[in-house]
Amino acid sequence: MAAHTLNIYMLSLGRMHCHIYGRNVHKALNRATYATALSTNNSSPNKGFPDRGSRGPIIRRPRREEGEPRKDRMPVDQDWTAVYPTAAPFRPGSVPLPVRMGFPVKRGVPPEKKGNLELIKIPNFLHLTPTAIKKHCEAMKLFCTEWPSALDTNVKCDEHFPIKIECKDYVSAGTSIRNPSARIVNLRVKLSSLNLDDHAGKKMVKLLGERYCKETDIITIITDSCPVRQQNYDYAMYLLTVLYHESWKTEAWESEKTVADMEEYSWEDSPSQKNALSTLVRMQIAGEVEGDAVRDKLLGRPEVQEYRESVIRLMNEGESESSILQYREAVKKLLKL
Amino acid sequence: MTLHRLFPLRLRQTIAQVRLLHGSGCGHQLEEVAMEPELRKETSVFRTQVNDPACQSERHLGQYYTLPTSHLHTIFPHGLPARYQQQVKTFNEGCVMVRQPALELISYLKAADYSKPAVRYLLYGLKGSGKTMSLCHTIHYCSTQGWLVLHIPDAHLWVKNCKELLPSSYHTSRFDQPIEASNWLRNFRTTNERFLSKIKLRQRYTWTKRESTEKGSPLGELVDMGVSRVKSSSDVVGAVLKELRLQAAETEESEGFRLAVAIDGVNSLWGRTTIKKEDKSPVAPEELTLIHNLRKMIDNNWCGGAVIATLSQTGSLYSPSSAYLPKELLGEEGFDSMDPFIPVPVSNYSEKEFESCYLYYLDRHWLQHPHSESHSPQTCILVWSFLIPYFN
Repeated sequence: MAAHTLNIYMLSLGRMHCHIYGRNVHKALNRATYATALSTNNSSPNKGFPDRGSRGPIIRRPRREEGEPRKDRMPVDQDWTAVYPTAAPFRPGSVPLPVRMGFPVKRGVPPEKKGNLELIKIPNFLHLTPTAIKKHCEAMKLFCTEWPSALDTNVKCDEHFPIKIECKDYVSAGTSIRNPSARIVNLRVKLSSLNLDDHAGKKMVKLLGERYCKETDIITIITDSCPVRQQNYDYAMYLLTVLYHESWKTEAWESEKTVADMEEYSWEDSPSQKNALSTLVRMQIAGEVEGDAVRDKLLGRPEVQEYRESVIRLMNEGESESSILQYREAVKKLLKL
Repeated sequence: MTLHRLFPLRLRQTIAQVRLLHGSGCGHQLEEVAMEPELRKETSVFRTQVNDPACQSERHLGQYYTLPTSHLHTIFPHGLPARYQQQVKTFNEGCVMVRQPALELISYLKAADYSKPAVRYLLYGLKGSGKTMSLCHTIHYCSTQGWLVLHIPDAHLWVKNCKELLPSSYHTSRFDQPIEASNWLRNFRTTNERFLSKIKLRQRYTWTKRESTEKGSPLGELVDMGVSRVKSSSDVVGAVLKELRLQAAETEESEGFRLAVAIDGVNSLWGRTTIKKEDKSPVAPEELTLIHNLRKMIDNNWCGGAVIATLSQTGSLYSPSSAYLPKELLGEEGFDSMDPFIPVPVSNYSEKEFESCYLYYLDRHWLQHPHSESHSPQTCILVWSFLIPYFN
């Protein structure tokens, strides 16, 4: 026992991996032998091993023969999930594919898979083939409930469940199952499904800013500030609730909304309307009495309406050749050219 | 460049058409025969003898008419583009092509009712498409019809590179530009000589304690005073504009006249300036007397004339080079001031106009090429100049 302990102690002092089997070793270590003369004994029984002098050869357990690699014994219709049931490093003998990986040296090809560290380093998904996934799904089915039969179309799903939560789970062939990106929660809901009136809708859009997409009318709230998914989900729901309630409230400073803040151009009370009316008034023969009646009559005229349409189109849709031409025709009719 | 706005299909078609006319190698004999007689017919018709813009019509589209030399010096002392002035000097004649936008404008001017408020017309288009030349064509028409033409050749020059800026004596917060104002008054005098003695002032104008212009004196006296007393020339410009505005409304019987206000680069009136005050703060356009008075002319609260303006991106300040549409260049303020106006688009040369131009240059021996009679250099010019009038 003492010799054994001494053996281990000496190993831990810095000797490299040397698998020392056999019982004769500790005997050799107990004896303090000093080499007095250099001996170049070429006829040592173990070729390639250092000369151990009179200590004798290192007896190691005989190495048994390698068998045939598994890939050569694989039938075509085998169960692959038995070869790779879980995440495991790449085993060249178990994968029957002639894969090559690595940088080809000049006039060469990428190195083969046998003894290829590159293939072992990278994560592989050999344990997640479709068959394996199917088996997982079958196993999970015990814990699942049926999809409600009433929700068979997307429209019905949107109607009953307007809020859609999206979370991602990550799998990787590594030592840890944790992934910090799994905490991100993506909440999507259509603005039209919320109960908002005109003012509340506009205020909501202004509060949301970038998170609202005008074309699809979808609000997207992505939360990732908390470390846990549950916390992020709660935060997203809280944000939605707060936005909804705040947009219904009207603050005192909202009355200071200027023309530049307006989302859409409105022709009423715009400089364009004033100009048009004043031009028309001046064009009329002097004799018509000024007043609201005249103004309303002028506004009701078809050419004024056409002019109004063209200006609104110009302002809201932006300029283009066609909108400018439409404006031109409207002005020509207005000015009776 | 305007490359991205081209219609390559049209260009390809044009090149295909022109290439068909080359020598014998191509097998499209029938088409060749069909094209050639047409071309021969058109070869001689790139000039027209109708030199009066009032008589020109759609028949003369694409043809050049000659500006009489006397008109060149009186009507356009400062109005023509620099490139065109060089061309006039080289060819010893000023030829203007009759194009659709100018004809359209002239037809509006003919049809308008001058007892109603002044109509505003705005020429817009890509760079080099011919806006200033269309404006000059219209001014020629107005002059030959006896109108009084108020031509501001480039309003951009008034908002940048001002050597001398004086605080205005009339209004404390405004600034005068004596050099620009006196230059303009000089050119105005050259253009409208015959009106200077006819129009009488309606008001007395006091310039300094000792100098004043009495009511009833002719406009010419006011203009001469402005040219000689450079310090008060900006205020003189303001006075001239005001008088003309008030008096244009009269009918022709009582010695009235029609007023054409022609402004090139009108978008500079509402943009930004590069002129700085002494404390290095920028001057807003409305703080310049000249711009302030010009803006009053653009309002349609006066009758008896028309306002013809062009937009110009070249020379404009702080506007992107790809902008050419009215609202982009005028801005919100400018659009509201000009509204309602009639926008007149000016496009690049059509194939026919390009042919005309090419033949005119051939005629003037400007294009010197041994094979000028065939069409291969034409294809080259076509491709390189992309039908843009400025590059022709």
